[in-house]
Amino acid sequence: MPATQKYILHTLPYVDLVEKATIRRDAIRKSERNRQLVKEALSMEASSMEAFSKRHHIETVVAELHRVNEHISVDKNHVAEAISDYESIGQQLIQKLKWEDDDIRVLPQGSSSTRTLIRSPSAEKFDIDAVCKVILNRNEVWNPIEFFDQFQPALASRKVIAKNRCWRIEDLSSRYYVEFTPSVPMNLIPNNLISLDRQMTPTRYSDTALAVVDRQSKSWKPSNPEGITQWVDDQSKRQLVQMVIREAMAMEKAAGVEPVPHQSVALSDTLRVAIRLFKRHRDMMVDRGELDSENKPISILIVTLLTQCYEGLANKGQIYQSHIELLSDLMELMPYMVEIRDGYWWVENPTVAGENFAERWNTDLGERKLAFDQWCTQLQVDLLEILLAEDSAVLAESVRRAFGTTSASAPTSPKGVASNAPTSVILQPAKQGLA
Amino acid sequence: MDGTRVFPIRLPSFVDGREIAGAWLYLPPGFVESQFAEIWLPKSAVLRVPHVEDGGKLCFAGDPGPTSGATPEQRINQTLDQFFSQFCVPWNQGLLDGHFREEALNYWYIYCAQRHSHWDPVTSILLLDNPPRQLRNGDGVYLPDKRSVLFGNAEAMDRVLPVVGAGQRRVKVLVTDIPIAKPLTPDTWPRSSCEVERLVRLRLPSTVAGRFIKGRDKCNRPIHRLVILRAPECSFGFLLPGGPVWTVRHGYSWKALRAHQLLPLPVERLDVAWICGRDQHSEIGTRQKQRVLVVGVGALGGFVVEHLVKAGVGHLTLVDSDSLSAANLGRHVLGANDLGRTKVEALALRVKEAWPAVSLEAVPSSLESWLKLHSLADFDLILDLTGEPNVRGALERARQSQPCPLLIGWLEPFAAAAHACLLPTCHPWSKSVRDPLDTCMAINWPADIMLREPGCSSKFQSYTHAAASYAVAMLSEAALDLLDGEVSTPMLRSLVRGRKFLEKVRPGLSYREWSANAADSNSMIWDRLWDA
Repeated sequence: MPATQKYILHTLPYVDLVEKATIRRDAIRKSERNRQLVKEALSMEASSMEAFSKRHHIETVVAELHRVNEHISVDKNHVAEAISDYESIGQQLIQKLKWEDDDIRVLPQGSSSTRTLIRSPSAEKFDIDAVCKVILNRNEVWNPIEFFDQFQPALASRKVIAKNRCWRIEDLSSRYYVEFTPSVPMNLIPNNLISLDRQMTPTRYSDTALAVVDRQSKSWKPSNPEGITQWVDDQSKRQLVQMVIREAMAMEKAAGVEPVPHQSVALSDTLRVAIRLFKRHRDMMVDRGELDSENKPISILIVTLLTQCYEGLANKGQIYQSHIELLSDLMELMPYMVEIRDGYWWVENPTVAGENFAERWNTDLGERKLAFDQWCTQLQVDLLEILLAEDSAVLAESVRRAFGTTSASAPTSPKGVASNAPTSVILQPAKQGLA
Repeated sequence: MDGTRVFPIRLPSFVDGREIAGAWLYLPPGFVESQFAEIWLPKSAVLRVPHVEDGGKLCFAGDPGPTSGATPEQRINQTLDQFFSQFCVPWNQGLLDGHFREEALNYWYIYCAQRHSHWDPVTSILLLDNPPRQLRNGDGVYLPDKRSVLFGNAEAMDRVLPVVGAGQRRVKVLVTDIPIAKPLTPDTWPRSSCEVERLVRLRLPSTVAGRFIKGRDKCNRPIHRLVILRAPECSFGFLLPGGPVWTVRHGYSWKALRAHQLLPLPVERLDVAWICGRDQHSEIGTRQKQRVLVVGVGALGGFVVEHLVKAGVGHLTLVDSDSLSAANLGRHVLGANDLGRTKVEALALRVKEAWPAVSLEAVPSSLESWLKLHSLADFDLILDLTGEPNVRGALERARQSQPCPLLIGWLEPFAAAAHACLLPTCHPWSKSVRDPLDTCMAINWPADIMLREPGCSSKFQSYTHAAASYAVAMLSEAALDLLDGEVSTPMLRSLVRGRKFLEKVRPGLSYREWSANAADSNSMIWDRLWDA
């Protein structure tokens, strides 16, 4: 792609994107024939939501989705353990690295910081991502690889693997990895050491912009984990649902006897719930072999598309009657939020201008785009099946199928078993046999 | 009942979704003397909870057993303790959740066994190759007599079918082979033909998927369809319903059946990377393409050929003009059924039948006459296992114009020592006119012992196959080192047996100076630079 095209800053407001997506969605609903499965589910005269509310008790679906949302949460104790590990390693880094304590900060990033961390369906380890932000002096910024490598001695007591942009610490726990990304505040990097992107960082998140080391190209790359976290947070606070469903509230109250764990997200936080459910759906499809794991949509792409969509709907002043209705719209509009810029697929990082999360879609002969489309179609089919389920047994089966809420992935107990478990045999004189 | 006493166990409370309906302690009648206490779970736990075998028996190390010295009471207590600490607690904590995936094949076999009947037309799928991880469609071959479907690329099918399917009826099957990232588990494997078709639709290009799901051939006749989901370490097969009638034989009865439901099938891999190296040796891929010339398939060569084939070497040419005689049988890989046949032809046939992945050419003539029509330059390695000076001479002359790595291997009398001279390309066996073989000997042999075989009017110094096996292993490893490019300078690898062995075969023998250290050991192996 010519550099000039790549760095053209498109300032398309998300409300326009949503508008376009809505028009395209409606047009496709009317005309496209090849999405037969979706169409079948949508083939009722009225819109899917009307049909849904006519046919079904809304609270049953809310309850089921609430259960899935709980089911996919990472155990709060495990997260706490991982966070305490990452903090202690952060402290270790601060102490061992040669820079002054005031010049180093360790911050969470990724799904743990956007609170969209979910459990893997196959009990694989989850990642806790952190950035280690160091204020370098003018001389040190010239050699990004040297900066990256300086972290190795500080982590020497651990089993670490150098990845392209971060250090992965493997031996902390059987449940998670901790990844540290060495980074530098963007404003410390001279203009000629980084692409044009920096000059175009959107102003609303420019304070938190960072430069991270890209070992492959031996250069600095822009990044903005705090910006993404802030953006998702800002958007999720905007209420789009006018009337909160009473049953859902009651249920949340009932479930809220314990303090809400850090990573659990209430259903009323529809944006995060959508991100979590959609990510889980993707993971299940990969687990079943229905989605090629090499080409599956990456999490940040899902987060970005959904948050863009949510922001666009909010800016547009859209108001929904229920969270389910909003969830359904997010699901339907998400595929159409992918832009085409100068003939290339484009999903803009809202916090780092010029960064395209769908960059690889343009160089893989369409495999990732195809996988994304197939996932979106299947997500719609599965979610509509859930929303339109005739009875609770069908509903439960559809949920199990779509989100893998089975016993081998059921919530876990940190304590193991109850203390009343018998652990010995009471020896009674045997009347026959043993004696 | 076989007299097993069954006691229900009071289970702890499990978190929602992880409940187990019950558990029983089984004490078989011979519990005190010889048998083990067992824990059984209800059938509903099979394929829902990991480590539960078909039937419900929990597979875990609980009872220390009758030979442990523990009293029956202690054994029962320990079984229950282990059941709670090794099973209930981790299950409740989710620590066993990944175990379905770790032993995916085991659970898949349980599932296949559950769905199996005597009248299943297909009982296994043999995958003949391990292609790069991409989708493919093709024709497989169903062998009704074996109830197996063979599938692989054209080359593999051509090589294996004549051997495995010789003289059998063959039926065409449409196969779709889909790579998947992770092994499937009871929660994720498809359980109905709709689910398999959904997967096919999602993974295959729409036109191909449409054709497959339709299940018709070009003439619009129904066709048998099979789906293989290929994870890195295990594969899962599915026979789809529909298709033509299967004719199935069980015992003395025959039945014509039509498949009405999805049949899960175990998939066995027959490709070289798996059978030779369990996917752990990338060099096997290279060896498959390499060509090795073996001159002399006697007591050493016959076995070395088998070792090379089992290490994944793809093409072998065997040259030997000898026929098998009764005197050879004690040490040769071939047996009495091959008496009178040329060694190379009998060996080639034997290896081809057992190892369809190798291509073998048998040349029942002398090396000299073979060399008149062929070039050594086509080969990646030459093995001279004849011990004959004229063969060494002929190879030495030919290598001057046709450079190629060479291994010369020979035994000393009684197999008391063995040598492999590893000569990379362009390194000669001898820089002088004199043959340096005698200078390499490890043992000072008296004049009455024949050093070269065959020799005139001398008695052959016999050895057991067991003794020769040391040399076979050493020579085979040396050949693979040379083939894998791990030898860059010429060297001599020598195996020398210890004093005890020597005294047994011929008392009073003495070592040469360099090999004297072997005396106190069972055997010793040296690597020395070769500069003759």
